[in-house]
Amino acid sequence: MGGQLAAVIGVGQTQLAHRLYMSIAEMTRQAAERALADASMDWNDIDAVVLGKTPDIFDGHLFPELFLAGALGAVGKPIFRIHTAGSVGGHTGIQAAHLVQAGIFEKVLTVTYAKESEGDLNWAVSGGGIPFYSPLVAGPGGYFAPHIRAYMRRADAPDHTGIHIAYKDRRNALKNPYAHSPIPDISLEMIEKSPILWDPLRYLETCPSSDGAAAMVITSEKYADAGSAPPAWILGSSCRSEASTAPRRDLVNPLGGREAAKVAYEQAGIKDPQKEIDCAELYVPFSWYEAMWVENMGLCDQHQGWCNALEGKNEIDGEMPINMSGGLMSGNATGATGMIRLMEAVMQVRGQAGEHQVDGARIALGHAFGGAAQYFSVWVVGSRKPR
Amino acid sequence: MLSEPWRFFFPYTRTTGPTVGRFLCGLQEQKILGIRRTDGTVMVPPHPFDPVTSETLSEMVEVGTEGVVTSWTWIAEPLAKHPLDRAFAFALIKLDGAETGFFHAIDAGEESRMSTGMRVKVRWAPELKGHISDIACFVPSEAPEPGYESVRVEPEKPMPPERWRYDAPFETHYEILAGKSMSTYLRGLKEKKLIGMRGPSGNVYIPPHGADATTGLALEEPVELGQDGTVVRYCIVNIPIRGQQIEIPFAAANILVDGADNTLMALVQGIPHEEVRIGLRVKCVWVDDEELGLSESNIKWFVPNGEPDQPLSEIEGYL
Amino acid sequence: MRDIAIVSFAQRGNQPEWREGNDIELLIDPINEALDAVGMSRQDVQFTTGGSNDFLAGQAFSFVRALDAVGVHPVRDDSHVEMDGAWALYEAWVNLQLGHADNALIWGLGKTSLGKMDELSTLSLDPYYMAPLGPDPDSIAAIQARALIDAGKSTERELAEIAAARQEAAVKNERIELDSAKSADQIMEEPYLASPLRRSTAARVTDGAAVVILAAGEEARKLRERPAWIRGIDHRIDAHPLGVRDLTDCPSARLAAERAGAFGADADIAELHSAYAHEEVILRNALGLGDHVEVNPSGGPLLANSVMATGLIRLGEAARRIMRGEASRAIAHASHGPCLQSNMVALLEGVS
Repeated sequence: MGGQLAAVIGVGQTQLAHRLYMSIAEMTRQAAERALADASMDWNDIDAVVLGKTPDIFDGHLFPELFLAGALGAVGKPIFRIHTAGSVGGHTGIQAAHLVQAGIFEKVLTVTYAKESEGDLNWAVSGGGIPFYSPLVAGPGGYFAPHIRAYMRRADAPDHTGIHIAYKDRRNALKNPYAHSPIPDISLEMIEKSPILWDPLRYLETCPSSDGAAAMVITSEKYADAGSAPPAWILGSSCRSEASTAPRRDLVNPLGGREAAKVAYEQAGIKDPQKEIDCAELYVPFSWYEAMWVENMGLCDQHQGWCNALEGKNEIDGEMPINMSGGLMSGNATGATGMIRLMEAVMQVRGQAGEHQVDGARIALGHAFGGAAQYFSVWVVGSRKPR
Repeated sequence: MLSEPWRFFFPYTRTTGPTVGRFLCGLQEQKILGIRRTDGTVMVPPHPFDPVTSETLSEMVEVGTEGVVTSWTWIAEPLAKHPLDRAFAFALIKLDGAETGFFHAIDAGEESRMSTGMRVKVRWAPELKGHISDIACFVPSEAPEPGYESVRVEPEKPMPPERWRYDAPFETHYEILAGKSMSTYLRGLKEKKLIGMRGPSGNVYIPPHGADATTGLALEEPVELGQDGTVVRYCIVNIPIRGQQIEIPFAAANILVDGADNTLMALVQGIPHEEVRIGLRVKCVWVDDEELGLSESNIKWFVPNGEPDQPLSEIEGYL
Repeated sequence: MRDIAIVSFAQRGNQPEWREGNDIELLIDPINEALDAVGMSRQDVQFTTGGSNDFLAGQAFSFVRALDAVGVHPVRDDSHVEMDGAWALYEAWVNLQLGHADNALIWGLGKTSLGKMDELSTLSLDPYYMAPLGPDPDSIAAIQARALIDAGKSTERELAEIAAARQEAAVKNERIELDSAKSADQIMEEPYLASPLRRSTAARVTDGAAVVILAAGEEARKLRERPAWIRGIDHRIDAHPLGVRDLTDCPSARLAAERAGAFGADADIAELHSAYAHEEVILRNALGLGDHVEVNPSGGPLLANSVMATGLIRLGEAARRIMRGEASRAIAHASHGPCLQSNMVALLEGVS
C-alpha cells in the first residue's frame, strides 16, 4: 500500500462496566494516560488527536472534542472526531493511522469512548418518539435476529451454535481484567437456561452495554521502538460502507465486510487468511454473529463458521482463535468497542494479552461494524516489520 | 410537506468525578473552590486537569465570593434556557483570589449598571443542591476590593461516588419535517394504502426516505402497492417491547410487499408463532379508523392471506 | 506530498428554512451538480465522507441516510465526522495523500430549521459549568466582541461596517437568499441582540448543504482546467473554558495558518468562517491578512450560516473563484466551537 509505515506502540483502556464513576474527561484521560505510559510518551510528544464515540444524543454531549481538548492534550494540536455508528472505534483507529501513513504527523493519539450511563440507551435507540420515523419494531436484537435465522438456513447450522460461541466468549472474559462483570461460574447450561429474548438469542448471548474508553498511540517508523513492548505494525486497513435502503443487500455475508477484509489482506500481502492470520478480534454483538463474521472475513470456508465454533477451533488454543478477550461479551462501550477489537489484535502480536494471549501470535485481525450492517472497518497488524 | 412539532426529552445524568464534585459540594456550603495550576495561578471553576497544558491538577483552594467583571453582554430578551427571565448579563468574572474568568449571569437590573471592571458578588439560590445553579447569579457589589488570599482547602473524607452524579434532563422542541417522499408515503398510510416511491433505477422503496439508494438520485413517482406481501426474514420476539401490547412470544418479520424492492419490518399475527416461515404470504392489517394518523403505526400487523407460500427461488435475493 | 485540488463545488439552501424536502432531499441536487460539472458519476467517486450533526436532526445516526444520496452503493470507502464538512474535507485530503484514492466527494449538511439551535448548542459547552446556564451562541460570541472592543481592537461602528459590506456581497450571491443590504448607519440603529452585537452583526442561521470534489494530480487536471490546488491545510484547537483564554486573539487560527503556509500569504481573497462581524477582525489579525485581501466576497456566514456546511462552503467559495480565474490565491477558513475555539486554514492556489 502507498504511504509510510505506521505502528501501534501504546495501548490503554479503562474497565468496562455498567457505570463508571469517573467523569468523561477522567475516563478518556485514564485510557489515554495508560496508552501513553505503554508508549513511554507523554502528552507533549503527541502531534494530533483523533476521537471517536457513540452518537451525541446517547449521552447529551455535543461536539465533546471541544470540552475534551484540554483533557486529552490537544490544545495547540489538531483534533477531530469521527462518527460512523458502531464501527466508529475501528474507523477512528484507522483514520489516526492514516495521519501517520500519509506522512502528515508522526505521533498520533487516538481515543474512543462511551458513557452510556449518562443517557438512557433503550430510550435513545427507540428514537424517543420522533414523529414520522417508526421505532425499531422489536428492539435491537429484533433487527439482527432475522439475519441470524437466515444464516442458520443458508449454512444449515444447528440451533445451539450460538450458546457455544457465547460460552467460549464468556470463559475468555474471565481472562480479561477489563471485562464487564464476567460470570465466574459460567456454564453452557447457564447460558441455555437464560431467557430467550429474540429467538434464537438468549440473554447471555447478548452483550452488556458498558461505559469505557480505549486509546492507542500510533507512530511512524522512527518512533516504533519507543514503546514498552515491540511495535505492532499496521500491515493493512480498510473501511467500507453500504447504503442501508439499497434492496437485496446481503446482510448475512455483507459485501462491505468482504471487501474491507479483501483490501486489508491485499495491503498486508496475505494470500491465504485462514493460514496466515493467527487470531482475530471481531465485533460480535450477538453470539451467532461470530460464525457469520468469521466467514465474512474469509477466516474459514463459506458455511463453516458454525462448524468451527462447535469444534472448538475458535478457542484461544484452537486453530483460529476468535475474540480471545471475550469480545463484546466482555463489554460493549459502543464508541470504544471497535477500537478495543483493533487494540486486542495489537496486544496479541505484541505479546501483551496476558492470560488470553495466543501463543506465538504474529499476525492478527481487528474488525468493527456498525449501523444496519453498513459500516465496516478492518485492520491487520503484525509483529514483523513489512518490507 | 408534512411537519409535526415534537418535544425532545432525555433524562441525561452527569458524572462529575471528585474534583468537579468537590466544587459542587463547596457551593452547597456557600463556598467557591478553585484549583491551583502548575504556574501557581488559581483557576475557577476547577478541573482535574489544566485545560491548556493538560497536566493533572489537585490542589484545591477556596476563593472569594466576590470579584471583578472582565467581559459581559446584556441580554435584553432572555431565552427559555437562560438562567433569568428578566433582562440580565452573561459575564466572565474574575473572583477574588483567582486568575481566570468564571462564566455566570449578573442580575444588574439595567444595562446602564453594567461595566467592565465593576465588582459583583454571589447571590446564592434559596435551595442549595450541589449544582452550578446554587449560584443563582451575581449582583453588583458596593464593597471595595478586599485584598483576598486564596485559602487552601483541606482534603476531607473521600466523597462517596454517589455524590458524583446529578440529573441533567434536557428538553427542547423540534418541528420535524417528513420530506417529500415520506409525506407521500405517510398520507397513503392514513388512507390505509401502502405507497412506495420509484427511483430512476426502477426500484420501488417503502418506506421512501428520499433518495434512490442504488443511484443516489431523487425518487420520482409514487407507486401504490397492494396490501399483500411475503415474509423474507423473521424472528420470534420473547420480550415486551415499549409501546407494544402484544402477547409474547410474537413474530417480527421483514416483509417484501408486492411491488416493492426493499422490505418493511412489521409484526406477524394470526398464526401460531412457530408456524411463521420464510415464503409465508401475508396481508396488511390496519388499526381502527379512528386511530389512523400520519404514522407508520397505522400498520397494526400482517396476517396470513391464505395464498400458497411464495417459492423461495423468487425471493432469493432477500434470503 | 501529493498535489490535491478542489475541482468542483455546489451548494443549496442557505435560507432560514428550506421546506422543499428533508435533509437527504436537500443533499441530492448539490451532489448531482458537483459531479455533473466535472463529468463524473457517483460510481466514479473513490472515497466519500461528510459532516453533519445528529442533534440538528433530532435523531442518532441521522447521517446514515445520507449514504443513499451520496450513492455509495454497492460499496464504498467512506467515512463521516460529526463536525462541519470542512473537517470531512480534511479527512478526505489525508486519504488522498495516502494514495488510497485519486478523488473524493465530501458533503456537509445541516437542517437547522428543524430544531432550536440556541438550545441545542448549549450541549456543546462545558457540561458542569456552562451548559446548565443555557447560554446561546450569540451571547457567548458577544462576550468576545465586548472584550475585543474593550481592548481597543475594534469598535461597534467597525462591526456595523463589516456587516454592511457582507450584506452587499451576499445580495449579489445567487446562492444566498437576501433581497437588500443594510447600510452601516442602519445597522447602528438596530437594537442590541446581545450587546454589543446587533442582529446584523451576528450570523443568520440557515439550512444548507454543500458538496466539494477533491482530486489528486493528473486526475485533477483531467477534470478541471484550472483546479484550486490545496497548497497547505491544517487545523488546531485552543482551550475550551472562556475564562482561561485571551478572547481578543485566536492562537489556534494563527498556528493553523502558519502550518498551512497561509499566514501573511499574498492572497487575493479570503473566505472566513466568521459567524460574527468581530470574528472577522480577530481572524484578519490571526491570519496576517494584508489590507488588500478581499474578505468574504461570497458574503460569508453572516448571511448564511448553514451550520455543518458553512466551513465547507468557505473552502468551496474560495475554490470557485480560483477555478473561474477570478483569483490566483485564496485563503479559506473554517471554525468550530465557542469564540473561535478551533480553526482550520487552507491556502488555495490556481495555476495558469
